[in-house]
Amino acid sequence: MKTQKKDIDIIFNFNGLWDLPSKCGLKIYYKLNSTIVIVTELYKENPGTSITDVSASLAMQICEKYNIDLSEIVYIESSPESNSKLSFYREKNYKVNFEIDGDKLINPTYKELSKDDLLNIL
Amino acid sequence: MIFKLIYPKWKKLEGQTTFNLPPHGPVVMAASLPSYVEVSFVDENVEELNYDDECDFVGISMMLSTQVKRAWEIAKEYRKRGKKVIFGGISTMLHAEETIEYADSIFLGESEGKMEEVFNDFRKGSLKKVYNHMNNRPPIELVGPARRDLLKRDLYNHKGVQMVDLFHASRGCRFSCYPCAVAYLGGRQFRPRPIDKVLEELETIENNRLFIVDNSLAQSTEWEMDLFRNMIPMKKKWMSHTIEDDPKVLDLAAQAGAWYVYQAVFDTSDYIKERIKRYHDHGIGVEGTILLGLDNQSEDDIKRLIDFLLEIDLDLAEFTVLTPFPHTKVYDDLKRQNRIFDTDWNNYNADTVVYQPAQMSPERLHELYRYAWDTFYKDETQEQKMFKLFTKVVMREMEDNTYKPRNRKLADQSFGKKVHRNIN
Repeated sequence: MKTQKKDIDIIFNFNGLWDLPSKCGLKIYYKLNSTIVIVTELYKENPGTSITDVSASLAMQICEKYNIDLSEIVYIESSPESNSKLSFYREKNYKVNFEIDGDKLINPTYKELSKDDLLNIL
Repeated sequence: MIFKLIYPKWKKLEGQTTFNLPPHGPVVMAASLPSYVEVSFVDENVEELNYDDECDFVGISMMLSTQVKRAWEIAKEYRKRGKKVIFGGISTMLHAEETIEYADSIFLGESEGKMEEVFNDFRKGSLKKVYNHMNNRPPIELVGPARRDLLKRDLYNHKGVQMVDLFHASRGCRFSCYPCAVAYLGGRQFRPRPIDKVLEELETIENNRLFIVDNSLAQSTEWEMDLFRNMIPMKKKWMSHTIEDDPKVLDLAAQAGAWYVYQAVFDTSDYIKERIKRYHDHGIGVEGTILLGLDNQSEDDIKRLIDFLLEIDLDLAEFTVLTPFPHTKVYDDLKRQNRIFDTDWNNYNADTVVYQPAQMSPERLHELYRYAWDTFYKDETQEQKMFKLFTKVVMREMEDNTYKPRNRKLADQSFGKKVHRNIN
């Protein structure tokens, strides 16, 4: 029988491009047939690479650290509202699909999610 | 050992006044080279590159995305001739993954204290493919005076008027501006140079007119005020990116020789209007930098913005089309929305629309971009407005006895080329 793991909600340190130490918000929800991973951009709080700049590498780092099967991952990138007057800092969420190439994730493609889409996934 | 250091040319924008400023990145890097290295510097924007000139090792310094394809061509040519080529500079960092294909080596990061290793490796024939110092920034105190002696001065001269010298007093940026890659390149931590080091370098610059190229001087009030206070006796005149609009800071900036500043204008708010008025009240000119094509801009918004610019009496305005440079939030957003349709780096010149705008077609955005330039400069051309700003600095120089007349010997030349003089 599969044991239900405890959900995770942390600041995750990852290796960015050219090994730049980087940070993002990380939530992991363990569901029956999938693992939902939400990575959140931290903007000024992230000293390194953005989550989108390294989508595939970041997803793999998370899978490796938390023993998530690449085929079970539902991966979501979230760019939160940043209290800016400028509309391009409004919250946006994307479901990211990857191709699996052996033990690697490659070629990310993005689908924007509405709030309802996101709630349905969760 | 002769190190051929090359700054590749790029295509200048149509319909805009072209001024070739002396490059900054290559001469800052050159200051960190080992003493046995003899540098032969070529800025392709103002002089021809001769592949047959004697050299041992070739360095290509890139600042802009519009330089990278030309830089790759240059590297191919040198490598065909058996020369080793290393790339550096901010655009190498932005385009590292592609540039590596054209290079024997790429250098990522800031060069101070790091070049001895590179040249030792070169001499041993064991140059590394990548020198990755992105996360290993040198102490800011190590930044010394740039090698401006490498610049061929007469080539940065327009009809006898010497162009400004570029200079930096800090690195890094704590802001997170939408179209900017500086946080990726220089880090999110503001790293001001010690004031005595700044002054030491300023003393070495003969030119009275400077462009302080720091991303933003408005990052530490105390340091900014200290910098301006110490610059007052030098009587330099300078332009820069944003400075704080606190009257105390502006007062010191004006005394320190602030000539004009760049100010991003995103909207038609009273906040912007008042800010520009405060600069003007202190005798500081303002060049607005206006980004067109943001997702929240409709055609009407852009037209209203241009009317607003005329109303607030900007001294100059520079319009650019939103461009998704790699490692920016713009790039991330547009990539995720699959809106980037052109990845030819030659078109990443902030004049060409390379993405699908949210509220209009790419063609319509480009028309509005042209409309913006034409409308803003309808009654007074860009050259006329520049001349007015130039006159202001000349007047101030005459008042404090720092004015140097133009070089009559170069009056019939513009950036190294003969020009026809209109004498009426």
